[in-house]
Amino acid sequence: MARLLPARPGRSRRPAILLVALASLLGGCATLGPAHFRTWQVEGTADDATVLFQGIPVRTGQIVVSEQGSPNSLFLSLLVAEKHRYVHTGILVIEEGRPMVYEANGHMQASFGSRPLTRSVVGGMRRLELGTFLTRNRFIALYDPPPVADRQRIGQFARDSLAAGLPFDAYFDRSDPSKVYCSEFTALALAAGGVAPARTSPLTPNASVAVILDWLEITTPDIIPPEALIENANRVGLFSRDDTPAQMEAYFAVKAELHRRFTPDQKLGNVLRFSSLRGFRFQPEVESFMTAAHVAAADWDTLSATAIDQRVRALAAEQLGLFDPGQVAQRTGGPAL
Amino acid sequence: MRTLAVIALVLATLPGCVQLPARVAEVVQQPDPAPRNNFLREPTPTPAWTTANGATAAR
Repeated sequence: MARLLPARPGRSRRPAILLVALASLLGGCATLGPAHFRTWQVEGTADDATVLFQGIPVRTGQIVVSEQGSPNSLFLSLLVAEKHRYVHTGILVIEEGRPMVYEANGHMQASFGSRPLTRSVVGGMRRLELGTFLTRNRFIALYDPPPVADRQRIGQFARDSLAAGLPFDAYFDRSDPSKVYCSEFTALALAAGGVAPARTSPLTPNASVAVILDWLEITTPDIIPPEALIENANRVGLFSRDDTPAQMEAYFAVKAELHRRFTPDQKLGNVLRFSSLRGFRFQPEVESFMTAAHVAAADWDTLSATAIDQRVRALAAEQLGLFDPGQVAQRTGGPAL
Repeated sequence: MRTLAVIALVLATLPGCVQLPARVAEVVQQPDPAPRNNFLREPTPTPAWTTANGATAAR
């Protein structure tokens, strides 16, 4: 916004710009670290190749994955047949001692009428500070690439992709690398570093999603899920500003339970509703379930992931009704996914 | 020019007013009726001793 305003004649704006830059720099530092994040688990170990950033051993070629917990995130998750924790990914590159995240990012432009929303998605490769990435996303994990990876080549691919201005691919078409979606970019970067191709995941057989995909003109049979890129990888850290580790685990259990209940005969409208002005929103019953799990999980710090999952399932039965996979099989002629 | 830039910025920030095609709106905006649903609580059965206007009848 400031760049749109003309400078006053005869008056330098430099001191103000410097003050703003300094304030934002200090602000960024002040809001990071275990004192400001409810989850700040550093699991990696430092060595000669790492740089310590707020106590995190970071290095070029590391993989970041994230999840927002938003209706849009859940929509993206429900497009895929398998359940996954994360919906976004990028590559870390150390530049002049600072960790930068390279990511393929798309966002919606104003859209009017009934044209497919995918035609209004713009964006592409961008680079941001790791500190910014940590504060902008709700759940973040950082992983080392496999030991065989050539991390400098991964980093170089990321820089080249940004320099080339690769646009975002809202159609998830990985057969065309001239446009990339987030996990496609990360997979290509890892491949440039000699890492084996990532596993793909088929889209859901859900009939209502098929209607939406048809409207969105998405014809790909599968996508690269961000989690395929961190399978068998070592986690370096886990972060969330507002959620405790138990609340984070509970959210992933909630998401898994919603995915389990989203059987092929279910309508997307049972989970999400679409407002023409505000986009996707959770259906009230789903939102109540999520809130109940989040509130209850504040007291689950001592529970294992398995115990949290069991409690979330019990909460789902209480909030959403019993889920009987046998009945689903009768309705659909096949097992619940 | 400045006005145009501001208008462009506002338009780019607004989500817009999307009109979903009928077939899409049907699957996205309308939940299924219970009890087939995996996401809605099944309606509580009306007790046999409650009359249509809510008054309690003798058991």
